[in-house]
Amino acid sequence: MNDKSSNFATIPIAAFQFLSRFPPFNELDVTVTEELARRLEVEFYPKGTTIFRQGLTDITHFYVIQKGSVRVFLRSESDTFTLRNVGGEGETLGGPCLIRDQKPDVTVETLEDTFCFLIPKALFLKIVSENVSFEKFFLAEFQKERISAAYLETRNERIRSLGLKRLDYFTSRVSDVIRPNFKVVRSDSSIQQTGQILAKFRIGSLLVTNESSNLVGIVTKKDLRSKVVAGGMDYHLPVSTIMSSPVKTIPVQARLFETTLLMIKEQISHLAAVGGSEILGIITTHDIMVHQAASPIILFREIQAQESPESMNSLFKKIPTVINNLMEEGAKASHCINMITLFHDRIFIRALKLFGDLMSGVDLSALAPILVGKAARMEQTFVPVYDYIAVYGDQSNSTVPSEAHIEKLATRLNDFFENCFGKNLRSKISAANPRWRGSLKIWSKYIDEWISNPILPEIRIAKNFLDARSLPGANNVANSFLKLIFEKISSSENFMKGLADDFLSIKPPVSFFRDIIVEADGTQINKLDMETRVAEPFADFARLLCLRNGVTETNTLARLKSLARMNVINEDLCSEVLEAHEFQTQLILISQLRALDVGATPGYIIDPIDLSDLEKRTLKDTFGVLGRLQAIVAKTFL
Amino acid sequence: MNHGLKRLFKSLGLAKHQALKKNKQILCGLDWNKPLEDYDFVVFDTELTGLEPSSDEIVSIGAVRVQNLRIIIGKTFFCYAKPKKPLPKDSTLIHRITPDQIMEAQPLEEILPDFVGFLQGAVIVGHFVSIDISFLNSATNSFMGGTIKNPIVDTMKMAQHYEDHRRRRYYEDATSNLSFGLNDLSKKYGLPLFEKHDALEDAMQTAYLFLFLMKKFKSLGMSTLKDLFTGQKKAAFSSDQDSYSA
Repeated sequence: MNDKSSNFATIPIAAFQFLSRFPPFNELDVTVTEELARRLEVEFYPKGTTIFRQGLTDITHFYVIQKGSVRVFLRSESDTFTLRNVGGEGETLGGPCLIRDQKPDVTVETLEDTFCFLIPKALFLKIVSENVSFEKFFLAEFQKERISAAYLETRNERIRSLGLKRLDYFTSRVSDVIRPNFKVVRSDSSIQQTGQILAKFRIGSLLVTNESSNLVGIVTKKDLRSKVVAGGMDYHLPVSTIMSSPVKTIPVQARLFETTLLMIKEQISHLAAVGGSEILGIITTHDIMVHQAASPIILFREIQAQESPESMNSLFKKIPTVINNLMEEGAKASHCINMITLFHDRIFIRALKLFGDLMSGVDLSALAPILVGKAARMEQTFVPVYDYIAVYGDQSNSTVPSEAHIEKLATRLNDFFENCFGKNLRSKISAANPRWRGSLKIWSKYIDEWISNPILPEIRIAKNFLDARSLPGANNVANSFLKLIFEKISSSENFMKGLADDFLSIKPPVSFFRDIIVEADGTQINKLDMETRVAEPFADFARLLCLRNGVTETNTLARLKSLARMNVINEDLCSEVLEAHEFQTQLILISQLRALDVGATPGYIIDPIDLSDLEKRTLKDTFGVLGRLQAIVAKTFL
Repeated sequence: MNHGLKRLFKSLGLAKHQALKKNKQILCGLDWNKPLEDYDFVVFDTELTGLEPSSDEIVSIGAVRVQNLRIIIGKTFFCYAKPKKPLPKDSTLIHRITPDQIMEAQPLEEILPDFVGFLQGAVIVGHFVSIDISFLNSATNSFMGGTIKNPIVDTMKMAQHYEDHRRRRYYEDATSNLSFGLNDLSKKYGLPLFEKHDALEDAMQTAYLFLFLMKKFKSLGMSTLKDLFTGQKKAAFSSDQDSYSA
């Protein structure tokens, strides 16, 4: 006979199931939740009812919203209202007051017709005393257990579902891998001429055609090595004597799996990829290996090895795959953004070298390319930013490239980045703009102008230059620039106050309410810009306090850690800030990976619909941490 | 002799059950002028084999108590009752119950005193409650020698009155064909929804509707039990079969 056929009260299944869905109840033992469910009462509060009033109401119950919504606000002595939270289903009310045995420090009012589950005070306190996690839930705003659960949830449920990691034989096609810029040699060319072409273009193979341009063979470095050098052949002989013929071909739409099979079967390492009767490129065993490997080391090496800007293009597409694999293996998001930055640094340096080489007669050694903003902070995501400026020494020195040269080089670089990353690229500042290149003297003038008139749009521009990192180049010029801007800005009280005002002007959102974000002034928005509302404020805080305290780090995490070491922020807050920063970084990377996975443009905008309850809650805690950072800045600077 | 007459004779010879006496005793002292929060309500629902009180039977009762205008989730009553006659095979009214559950259950006469005890002089609440009451009274009459005299409130009538009020106040379209079924009203008012699982779940759903309507009426100035029954439109609230003057 089951419970329901007895004449006694049964376990209220609906209430039990409801509680089990929400923290902190979902962490309780099932029997405890059952007991709770049996002791619940249901109260209905029509829209506009005050459930409890700040400083007045004696709270006799703990509340859980079953249906409806409330707003939680604070009334100051000067009678201004501050919205603290908007809560819907599953939101709890009164916990901290009951634990501390205090009157409420906020007022709670219903925004809609609202049903609440009520738990009597004594029962609530009993459960709190018997369950440590329960008490922590109400007293600690940003606690480790919750955030680590949120991390895991995000990782487990999001990363594994991505198709990005499957770069396997069975989905990739020849067209994903081939290098289209293959070279051709006539069959009557000499072996020596062939060797010269291979050397000039630093390639491993050439297609060979006859006088009527028909493909007759392929010649590789290996042929030169084994047949000519080792075999002692005369290198004036025509290349047709050493080429492999006929050339094996594979259609570009063939899968890598079939391609590998063909190579093994024929014991060859090169195939001509064809579309119809036209040759579209060459595919080699090396190409397949590089494509398959999702290792950061191989990717670094490959970027480094490229001999033309065009050939780097296909490598960029691998960055998300490499990072996705690292995250899957448990790499922290903050390390991943460092890694992404290193890739982009490498690309920048390589492209600068290759384009510089193309401009004969220009000596770049006196030019200091300096990354600014996010790239300088080593916080690149899958939305690359190539913000950089050029600083040079005295231009009367003849080795310094001319303005025209720098502009031409920067324009080529920008076109190249644009070509590589298309609409994903979000660069704003570059040395192609005459304003962002100049001698130390000119930069010094800019900085003085900012300091003398710290007004808003300029402050936000100047901010970028406070995150600056030099790339290999004229190191002494770069160091002079970094020292100059740091010292000038940090000693200007006015400018520092301007930075602080700007940081304080953007209030973090208050909460999530269902799938809507609630702003501090009560307005509701349905999308959150993680960059401007979460990531940048963390960076702003770290930069500001580091400037004030003489810390010259550029990376946000490194800055925060330095501040903690110097006791500028206390250890507890620091660990919360680091956790919150880590969480938001992970959320950004994973949402971008998801966008890439479905072929959408990655960005920073997050729709709360895509977040789990736990993620929303953790993000809400992150807003709370930002609010506390604002309080520190307000106290320090105002 | 027909079935009804048999029962009548049976009840004539039956002394009034102790639980009924006790229930009536509590009701005698009922003060109609206290605030609504001070009363106990029992929201209930039944499952029946059909709609004819003379031949059909109660096979399940679910009820939940409301005190201080709060649903007390731990104070519920739920039972199945084994019918005298075998279940009609195609009965749609009892589709939520399996024959096994019913056949294992105690007969209604053994359960009824417990249910009357659960009522404890409370105001009875139900949705379209007159039919449940007529079955209940027919059963108590047969098995316990008397009927239940508790005041009765029908949430369907409360809802009709509430809608009338809204129409008058907000000039809402009087011709809108609003259904007064429990589910439709629960959806319309945005109440938490229960699966239509059994009589207890229906009683719980009715209790949410009752709570909703009571608070809405309170905000319209109704504060005592007397107001609820006589204040505005007596007939609109209490069931036709109510016997609040008991």
